[in-house]
Amino acid sequence: MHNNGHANAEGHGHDGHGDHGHGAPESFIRKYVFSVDHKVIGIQYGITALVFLFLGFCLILLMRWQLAYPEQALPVIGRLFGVTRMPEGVMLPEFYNQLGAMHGTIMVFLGVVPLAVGAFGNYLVPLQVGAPDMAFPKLNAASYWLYFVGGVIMLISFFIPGGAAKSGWTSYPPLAVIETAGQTWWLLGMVFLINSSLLGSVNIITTIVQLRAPGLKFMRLPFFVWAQLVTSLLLLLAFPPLEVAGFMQLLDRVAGTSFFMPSGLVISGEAYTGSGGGNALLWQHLFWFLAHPEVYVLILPAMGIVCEVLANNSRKPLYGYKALVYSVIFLGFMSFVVWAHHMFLTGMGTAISTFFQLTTMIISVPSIIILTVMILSLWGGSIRFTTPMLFALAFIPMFGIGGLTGLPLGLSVADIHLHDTYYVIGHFHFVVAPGTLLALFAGIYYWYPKVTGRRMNDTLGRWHFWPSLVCMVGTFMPMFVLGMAGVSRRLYDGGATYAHAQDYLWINQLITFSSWGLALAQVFFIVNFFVSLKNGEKVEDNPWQGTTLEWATTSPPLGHGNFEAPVTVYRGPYEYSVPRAKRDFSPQHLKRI
Amino acid sequence: MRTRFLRYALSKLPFRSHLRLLPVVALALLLAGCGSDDEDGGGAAASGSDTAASAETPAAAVETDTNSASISGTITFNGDAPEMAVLDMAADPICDEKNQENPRRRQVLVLGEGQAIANVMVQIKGTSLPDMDHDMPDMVVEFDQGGCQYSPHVFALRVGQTLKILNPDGTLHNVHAFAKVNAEFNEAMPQFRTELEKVFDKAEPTPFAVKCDVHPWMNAWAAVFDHPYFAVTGEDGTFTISGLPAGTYELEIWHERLPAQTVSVTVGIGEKATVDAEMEVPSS
Amino acid sequence: MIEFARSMWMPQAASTHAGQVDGLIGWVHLLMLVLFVGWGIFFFFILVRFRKRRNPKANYEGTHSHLSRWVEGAVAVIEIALLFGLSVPVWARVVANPTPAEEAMTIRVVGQQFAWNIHYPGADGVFGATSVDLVDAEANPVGVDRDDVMAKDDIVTVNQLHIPVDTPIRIELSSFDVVHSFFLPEMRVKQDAIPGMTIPLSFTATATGEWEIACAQLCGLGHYRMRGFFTVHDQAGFNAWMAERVAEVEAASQPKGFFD
Repeated sequence: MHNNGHANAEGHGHDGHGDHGHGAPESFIRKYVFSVDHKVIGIQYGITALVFLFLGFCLILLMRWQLAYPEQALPVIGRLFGVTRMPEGVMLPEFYNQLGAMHGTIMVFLGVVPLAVGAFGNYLVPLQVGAPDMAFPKLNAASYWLYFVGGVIMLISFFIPGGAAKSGWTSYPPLAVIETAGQTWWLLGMVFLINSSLLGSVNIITTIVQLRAPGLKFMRLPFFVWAQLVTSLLLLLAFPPLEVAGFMQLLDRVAGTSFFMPSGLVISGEAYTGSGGGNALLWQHLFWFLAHPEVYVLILPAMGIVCEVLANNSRKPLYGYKALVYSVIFLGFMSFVVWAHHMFLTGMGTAISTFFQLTTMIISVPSIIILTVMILSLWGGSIRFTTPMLFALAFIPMFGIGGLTGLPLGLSVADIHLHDTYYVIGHFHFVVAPGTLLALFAGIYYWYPKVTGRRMNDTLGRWHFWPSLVCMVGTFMPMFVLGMAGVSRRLYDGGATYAHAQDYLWINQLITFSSWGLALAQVFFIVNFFVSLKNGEKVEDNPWQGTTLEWATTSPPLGHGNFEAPVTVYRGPYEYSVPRAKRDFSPQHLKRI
Repeated sequence: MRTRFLRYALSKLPFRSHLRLLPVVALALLLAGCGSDDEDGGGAAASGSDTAASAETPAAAVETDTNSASISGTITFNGDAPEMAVLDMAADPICDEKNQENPRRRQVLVLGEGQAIANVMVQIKGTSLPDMDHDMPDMVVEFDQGGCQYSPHVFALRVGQTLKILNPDGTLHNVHAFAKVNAEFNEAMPQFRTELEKVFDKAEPTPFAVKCDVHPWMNAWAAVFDHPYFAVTGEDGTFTISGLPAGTYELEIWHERLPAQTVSVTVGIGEKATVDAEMEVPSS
Repeated sequence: MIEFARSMWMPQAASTHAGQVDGLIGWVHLLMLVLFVGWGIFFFFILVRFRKRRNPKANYEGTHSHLSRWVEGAVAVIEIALLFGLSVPVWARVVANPTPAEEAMTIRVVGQQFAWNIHYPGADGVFGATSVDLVDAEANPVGVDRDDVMAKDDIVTVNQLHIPVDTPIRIELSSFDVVHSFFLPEMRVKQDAIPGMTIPLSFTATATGEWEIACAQLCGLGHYRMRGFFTVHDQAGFNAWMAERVAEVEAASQPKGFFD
């Protein structure tokens, strides 16, 4: 029984592909449940994260009903939620706040990051660096199971008295400290998720630094690997402050400390009984010190995926690979010094606000360079509009909108009007939904043959792509209008209380209709995903005629160990259409072009 | 079934002691376990409404002589009665509009004819009661938020008795009960939610505040008893506690602002004792 | 540029600094629009020009143009210009250095779940002592010490902020419980109200009207209903409103009673 350390020759034999685990049930569990193979763990991450993405999406669909039709009964399913959440099928503000907080938490910490880093990073990084597994396979499994437990804790919290956390995914104290027990569960869940990310990022960093195949110099790494490396560094350095802050908030809640509770609080007309003397802003600083780098954790792997797909489908090297790499490193570094631009309106002086505006303007430059590189990489290419390419191409303008709308929010004076309005929601959703999610879909379509040996259906892929794109724009673009009109976020009735929002309430309905369309479009993906497992077109080992190392092995790869023999790398990652080469792609591991 | 198990399991977890809010369902489940005490045996129902005079001796108590004593009396205020300030409800136009004709006043001190004090809670201290079972009234206690002021201002009910909270205002109220023994709760009643039912699962004889955070002037007081021997005075200042077995009891007279008083009363079988009390502003 | 911004669905603007906020928003959006349209056209052109059917064989070299560096440089320069030309000076003038108390009409605003307590110093222009120990949601929402001489004429309202037009207003903002955000959309004023801190802000209304105070930061189940009312009067109207309040305070100005 080999289940520790690196895969070895014995491992190949034992875990050979096609072994269905007949025999002792332990071996099935070892192999498919508590596996230490990075590919199995990657798939586990992927499936779990997709389920959470779906759940997080369902939460927002519920909220969208309430926003479009405030205080009206949700037909048919509304009553299923019970009197403490939706009496007579009408949503209560408490439940709305739970849904809001958990939508953000689930999407960010349980959906996108695990999919982008846990699934794609786990599955692809060892393959792309030519390693037999991650550097620490058991740690890898531990990372997944911590994530799983963290997710289960978050889900259970919906069913405890008072329901789940309801102070937003940002959990600002004092509100988070005085809210019901769901917040305690949220903090506990976060501790698991943070530790999962820390273990995972250590693993990815070590794998990339230590386990690269001979000849795979840093400047020959696929850009996706660079993106994962920087992402992991961000996670490793940014999460510990939040973990500490989480424990501090936990103590404030259960042990009567006052890290975040100032003196002299009066809550509902009663003096707060804690000791006081704390600082409510301290949490915001610690939280955003994580959460701004976290934004780049969400976006960098997506950029990595997009670059892989762009190069492959334009059949030419990326323009300015070095510029890309330096930009992404710079971006990662700068993401640690912009956090307070989330806090311009907390009483900031000119010097500090100028500093954070300046860093914010500076961080926009590498983002612009990366987008420019992506566009210019297409120049001179021979562009194939495959399904993954459609998603990757759409990422460019969508992320462009997300990035550009960050500018007015990054200028503190413009932020006076736009702060905490729907403009902010529109901005970051353009970054992470039509941005990151489209890129992740591109990745799924692109590497599905690698994982399963079959291709996803192209027609269904297009039916998935076009409505998704249109509906995402239809969902998030109108939010800028709401934001300009001054409609605040996180309002249970979508602003119906306020006079200045009256003319724009129809936009809430428009957004809701678009989100329904978006939900319908995902049916094509879900059907395609499952049907293709059995009925997808069988493919050869390198169906996209790619150059990077994951295509140097079979599809799906051999069992635990990945490559039949150690691979050696002879060239950069994107040697497509090399002059005088026989084919239009020159894989990294083949000596001859 | 699964969620029920889940709730049960969760209730066993150590975090439970920190829960500030228990949902109705969990309360009901807990009650199912400890409510059996109330099911049989003699005893009398007491009115939870603000008119203590309406408390009647139920038929069950008449059959036997043992539970036939009663204590009644009148509570008056000794001192110069200040005029209660008019409440400024401009903070919420919906409230303001409802009270244009008859502006509401504060209810800290509500006096009737002859200095009689309303909203005084009179109770027999549980410690002075013999161990006995009590009938459970099937009456629902109503607690109305109409016109953005609570009515009644002081109320009491039994463990397991249903409290029906009404919101006829077409605006958001949140019912924030600062229970100390029972689970504190804070529930929103948006305009669509005209009724909310609550049940308390533990005795809490020390009155706790109920507030609405949306309308800071709204406040009321509530207490929960595991016996029927309590009453709240109306504007006539009278109270009656009946259906008592013979014995010596500690009678507590409580007002939200004035110092509480405790009187020792002895009643024999079928006796009617009278306790009149005067409450006053403390001198210091 | 101000007009450009306001054509984009912004609410009415009625304060002296609103034009500067809207101007910056206008300029930034113009920059964004130009960049997006420019990039978009270029992107679309490339997709058409270099599609496989039109260009069956890719060019290994791609482009060698350095035009993109100029564009990136220009964007950076414009951003820095907006930052130091518009954002920093306005921030320094309007937000970081609010009008001092002696040059403005000062009002304290204290947020609480879920209402805005407005505290005027009254005729003497001096706030009476306050203490959280005296807070009584019903009778004394901000805990004014009525025994303090300076507090005799203090006026406290809930959710009713009234100011005179064309007068510098200084608001000293704080919170009793959780983080709120004080938002006057038409004044282009927004400031987080953070418990444990008092943050001053200032503005001058340029038009009379009846508007609202919005809470912009999630503060609990009643966040969506934490709406205050904001009225800008002409001077006479404000004086009249104030006189009514003063009369109310005087009518109730017996010594603080046991029940207050």
